[in-house]
Amino acid sequence: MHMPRLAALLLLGLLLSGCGYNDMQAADEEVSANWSEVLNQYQRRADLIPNLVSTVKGYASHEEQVLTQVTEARAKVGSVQVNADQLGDQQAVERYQTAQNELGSALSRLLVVSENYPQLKADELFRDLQAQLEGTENRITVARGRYVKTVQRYNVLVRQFPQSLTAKLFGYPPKANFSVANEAEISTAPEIDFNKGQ
Amino acid sequence: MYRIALILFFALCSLSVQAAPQAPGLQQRVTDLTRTLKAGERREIEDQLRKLEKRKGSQVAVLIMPSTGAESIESYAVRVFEHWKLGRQGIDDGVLLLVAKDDRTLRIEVGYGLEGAIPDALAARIIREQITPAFKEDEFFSGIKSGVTSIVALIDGEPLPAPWTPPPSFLDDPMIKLLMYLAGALILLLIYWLDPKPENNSSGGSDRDSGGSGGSDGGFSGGGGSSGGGGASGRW
Repeated sequence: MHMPRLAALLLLGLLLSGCGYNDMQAADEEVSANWSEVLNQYQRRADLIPNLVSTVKGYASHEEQVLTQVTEARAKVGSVQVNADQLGDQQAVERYQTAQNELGSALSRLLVVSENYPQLKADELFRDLQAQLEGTENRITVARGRYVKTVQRYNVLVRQFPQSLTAKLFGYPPKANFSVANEAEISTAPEIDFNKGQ
Repeated sequence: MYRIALILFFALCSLSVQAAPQAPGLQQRVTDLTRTLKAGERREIEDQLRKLEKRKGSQVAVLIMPSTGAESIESYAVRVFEHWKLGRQGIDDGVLLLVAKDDRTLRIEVGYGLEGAIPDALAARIIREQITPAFKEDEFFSGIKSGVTSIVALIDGEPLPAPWTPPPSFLDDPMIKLLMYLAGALILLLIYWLDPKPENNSSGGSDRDSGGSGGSDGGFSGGGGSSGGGGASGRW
């Protein structure tokens, strides 16, 4: 009497996992691929910074505070890494995002300060670096946008019933998303007060 | 259930771009929604781009539109590129030159495969040296032609040509100017001599062609390429 019911349950289980598992696998791969792209673009930005700092130093050596902040923010970013398999940890991703946002702010401040040095602005190398920086920021935005899309698709897959059972069974936790909590604040360039002592 | 969620998801996505105009369909290499270019000018650029595709396989397209609305030109350019899929699949050798005429912004969006030939710094240089100086003088065809020539040169593996300068008009020559004044004076004298009362005549129609007079290449469609947000933007 037990056997038919057991067989039915097993069959149901197989069907369920068959239905959800492949999709989840594919979605997981996509999330990893997109996360790698995000990491690449953030790294590209970090790589531009030494040249940028030395070029600005050549014209605006007194702006020590801003230059130091950029260098420190970059170092901090280097110490906070998140691999694709750590994406289940929302805290880790938030730490990574905060560090990157701080670097972004420091860079904005540096560029605002550079506006006061016409010779720096006219320097070909600085112009090229600025173009590369803008291009990289855009690439970061595109990579993040694509990551967010794939993560949403994955999370929807993993949280819905009956796939959520398969997910728990095979270890597919929901993955972290990018928060846009204070993005508006961060993207506005702060006021620079030149009357404050160096 | 998954399908419903997906539909909801796509609906949510479409909500987030509410203020942006629809990305237009791709039918030809040069799409001018503002009627800035004359038919002959459009054909000239299309010829140049068609020959490039034959030569190298790369797909370069030009889109001139009034405005990108509330959306930034960077974001809009990426969307158009995703929609049009310029460049060959896997090779990703597509380039989009997008001009938002009323916004006075423009962008060169470069596909993944051409980021080595057209790095951001060179794209910015093309905009700064070839395109915006012309646009500032309202020389749209000249600027676009110049920009396209530079892009083609980079794809062909050649260095950038010299920066754009306004082409010398033959009317700038002082001798020609003098002759024009004399001729004008003579004509006026002649008119007064023949008929003291001057007549008004209406000006003829312009020779601007409403686009869509299909070229000889029988339609153009994207090759499945993609871009990652590389390139440069500018304003004039």
